[in-house]
Amino acid sequence: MIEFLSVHKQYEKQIGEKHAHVALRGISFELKQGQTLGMVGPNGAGKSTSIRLMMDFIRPTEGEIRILDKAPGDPAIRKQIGYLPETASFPKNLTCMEMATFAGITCGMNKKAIAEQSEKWLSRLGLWEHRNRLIRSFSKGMQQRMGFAMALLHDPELLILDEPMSGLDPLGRAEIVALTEGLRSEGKSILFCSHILTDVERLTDEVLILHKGKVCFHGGLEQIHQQTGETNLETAFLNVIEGQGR
Amino acid sequence: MNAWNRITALSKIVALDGIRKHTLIGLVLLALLAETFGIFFIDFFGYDIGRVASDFFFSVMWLAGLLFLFFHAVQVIAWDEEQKIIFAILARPLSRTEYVIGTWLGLLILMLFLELLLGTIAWLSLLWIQSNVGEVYFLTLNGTGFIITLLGLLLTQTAVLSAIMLFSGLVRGGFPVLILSLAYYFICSGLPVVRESIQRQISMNNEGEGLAMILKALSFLFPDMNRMDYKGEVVNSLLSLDSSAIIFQIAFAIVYALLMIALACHAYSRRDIQ
Amino acid sequence: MSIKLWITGMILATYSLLFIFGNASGLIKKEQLSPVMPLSFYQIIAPYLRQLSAESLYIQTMVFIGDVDSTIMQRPYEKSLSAHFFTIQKLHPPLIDTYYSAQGFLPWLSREGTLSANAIHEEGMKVLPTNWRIPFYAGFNHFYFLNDPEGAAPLLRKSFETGNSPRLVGHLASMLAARGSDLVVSLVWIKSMLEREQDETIRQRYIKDVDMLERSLAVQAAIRNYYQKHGALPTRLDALIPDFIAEIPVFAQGYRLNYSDGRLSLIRPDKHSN
Repeated sequence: MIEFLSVHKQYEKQIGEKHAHVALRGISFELKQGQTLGMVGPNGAGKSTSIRLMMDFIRPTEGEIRILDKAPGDPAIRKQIGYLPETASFPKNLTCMEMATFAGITCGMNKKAIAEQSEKWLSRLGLWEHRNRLIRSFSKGMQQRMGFAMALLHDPELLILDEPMSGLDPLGRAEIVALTEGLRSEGKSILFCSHILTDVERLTDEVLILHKGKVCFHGGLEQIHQQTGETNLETAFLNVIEGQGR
Repeated sequence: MNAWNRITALSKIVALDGIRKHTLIGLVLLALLAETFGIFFIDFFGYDIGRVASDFFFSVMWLAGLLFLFFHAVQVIAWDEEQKIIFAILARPLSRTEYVIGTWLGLLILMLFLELLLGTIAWLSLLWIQSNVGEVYFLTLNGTGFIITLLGLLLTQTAVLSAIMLFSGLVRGGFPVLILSLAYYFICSGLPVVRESIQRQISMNNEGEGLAMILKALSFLFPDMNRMDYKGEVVNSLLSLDSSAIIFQIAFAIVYALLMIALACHAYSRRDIQ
Repeated sequence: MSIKLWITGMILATYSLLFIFGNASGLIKKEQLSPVMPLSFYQIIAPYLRQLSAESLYIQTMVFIGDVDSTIMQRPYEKSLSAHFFTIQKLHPPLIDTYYSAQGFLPWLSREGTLSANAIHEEGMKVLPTNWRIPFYAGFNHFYFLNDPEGAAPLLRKSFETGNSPRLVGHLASMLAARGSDLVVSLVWIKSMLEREQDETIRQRYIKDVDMLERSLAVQAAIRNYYQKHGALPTRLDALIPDFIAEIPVFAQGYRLNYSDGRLSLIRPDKHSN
C-alpha cells in the first residue's frame, strides 16, 4: 500500500538559516495491505514530513514513493486514501454537511451515497445532530471527529491518521480506539502516527521508529521487545532512541 | 466531467464561505454608505450631475472590488495555507490545477455577486437621481454604456484576481502576497504614464528610444489596467467606442486572466505546500 | 480601579478643554489653496479614480472659493487656483463644471487668470466639441479681458457653428471680425447666417449688416487703389474722396468706420470699447 524507497527530503534554505534543513535521510519502509503500521518518533523525527510526502503536499528531494502502486502525485489515488491531519482545519463558515458533500463529490460519490455515508459516519462520531451547524461553532474535539468522518466518508482502503487522538477527551479517545480496531478488523490498511505509545501498542501490527530523519527500527512489536529486552513499547522506544543518541 | 464537478464543488464552498463571512457583508454596507454619501457629493456640482453621479458610483464599486481582492481574496488563499485548510482540501482527490481553478472560480463568483449587487443599486440610484434633477443636468443615462462600464470593471478586477492567484503560487504567506499584488497594481497603473512621458521626450529630443522599447516589453507583463475604464459612456447618448475596440479589449482581458491562471496552475503544481 | 478612573477622567478633561479651546479660536481662514499634487500622482496612484479625484479637487476648490474675500486686492491664491482648475481639467476633461467655474473665477482675477482660463477652454473645445459655451467663454475673454476682438471672432464663430448657441453669438462673431478689421470674413459669416435664417425680422437685420459690410469693403478697396496709385496708404479716409470713392459711408445702426495704422475696421463707439 505504501512504499518508501531511499527517500530523502531537504527543505529549501530560508532567509536567516545557515543550512537547509534535512528532514529525511534516505528512509525506506513499507506498509502492506491489511496491515496497521504505527509511526513514532521524537519531535522533528520526520513523521509529519513522511505523511506530507505520502499526501503529495511536498515532493521528495531524492528517492521514490509508491502509494497503492502509483506515484503520490496522481490525485485519483486519494479516492482510496482517508487522511486525518494532526489539526483538522475546515472553512469555518461551512456546515458539517456542506463539507461532507464537498468531500463526497470530489470522490465521485453520488448524492444518495453521500447522504448514506454522511449519516453513517457523522452518527457514529456523535456529530449527526450538529450536521447543519457552522464549523466555527465546533469545539476542537468536534472538529477532530469531523476530520475522522471526512476521512472515512468514501470508504477508503488506506487510512493515514496523524495524531488521531489530538484534542479528544478520554471518552472520545476510547471511541476512536474502538473505531480504529473495527477498521483494522475490516482489513483496512492503516498508518497510525501518534505520541501515545499505549495506543500504538494496542492498535498496530508493526512499528516504525524515526529519529533525526532516519529509520531506527521497523518491525513487529515482539521484535522490538526482543531487541531491546523491554516489555512495553514506551521503554523500548526510549531504549532505541537513546541507542541512536538523543 | 468529473474534473468539472470537483472544480465546481470547490468553487461552491469558497463562495459559500465568503458569503457567510462578515467581511463581505461589511464591504457591501460600506459601499452602500459611500453611495449614500454620494448624494451630498453630487450636490456640489452645478451642471454635470449625471456624469459626477456615475463616476462616483463606479468608483465606489471599484474600491469595494479592490478591498475584496486585496483583503479577502489574498487572505482566503493565505488562510488556506496558514490555517491549513488547504490540506483538508488537497487531501481529497483534487489536483493542484483543479484546486487553483476551483478557488479562483469561487472568488470570482463572490466578486461578481458583490459587483452585480452594487451595480444594481448604482443603476437604480442613477435612475432616481435623473428623475429628480432637471433634464439639462442629467440628459442621458445610457444603459448599454452602463453595462459596458460594469463589464470593463469586472474584467479588470478578474485580471487582478488572476494575478493574485499567481503570486500566491510563487510566495508564501498573506502579507507577502498582498505586498506583491499592490506593487503589481501600481506598476500596471504607472507604466502607461511613464511610457507617455518617455514618448514626449522622444518627440522633443529624440532621446530615450531604448528605454521606450524596454517599457513596451514590460507592458506585456504589466498591462494598462485603465484601458477598460468606460465610465464616460454611461452619460453619452451615443457610445463613442466602436464595437470592435470593445470586443478586442474584452478578449485581451480574458486571455490575460487565463494566462495568469495557467501560470498559477504551473506554480502550484511545482511547489511544496507547507 | 479608582486611580485608573481618575487618570482616565483627567485625560478626558484635558482633551475636552483642548477641544473647547480649539473651537473657540475659530477655524483658521485659508488664504492659500493647498498645493495640488502633480497630475502623474493621480494617474499612477488610482487611475480608475482619476475622475473622482478630479471631482474631489473640484469640491475642494469650490469650498475654498466660497470662503475668500474677493474685495481684497492681494490674491495669493491665484496661481494655485489656476493649477487646481488645470489639474481638474486634465484629470477629467469631459466634466463641464470645470469650464463653467474656471470661467466664473479665473478671468476676473488678472490677465494671467484669463490666459489660464483660455488654456483650459482650449482643451475643453477638443473634448466637448458640441458645447457652445466653452468657445463662447474663450471668445468673450479675448474680447472683454484681452482687448482682442480679432482673437475673439473665430472663437465666437466656432461657438455659433456648434449649432446650439443663440443667434446673437454668430452675429457678435461677425461684428467682432469687422471690429478686428477682418471685413471679408465678417461679410462671409453674415451672409451664411442670412442664408440659413427663417425669421424675417432677423433677415432684415442681416440684410442691413450685409449692406453695411459691402459698403465698408468698398472703402477698403478704395484704400487699396489709393496705395497702388500713390505708393503709400492714405493718412485719413477723407483723402480717398473723390478720386477713389464718392463719399465715406455713414451707417444707421450706430456703427462707424475706423481707420488707424492703415487698417479699416467697423466699430460701435457708443458701446464698451478698450
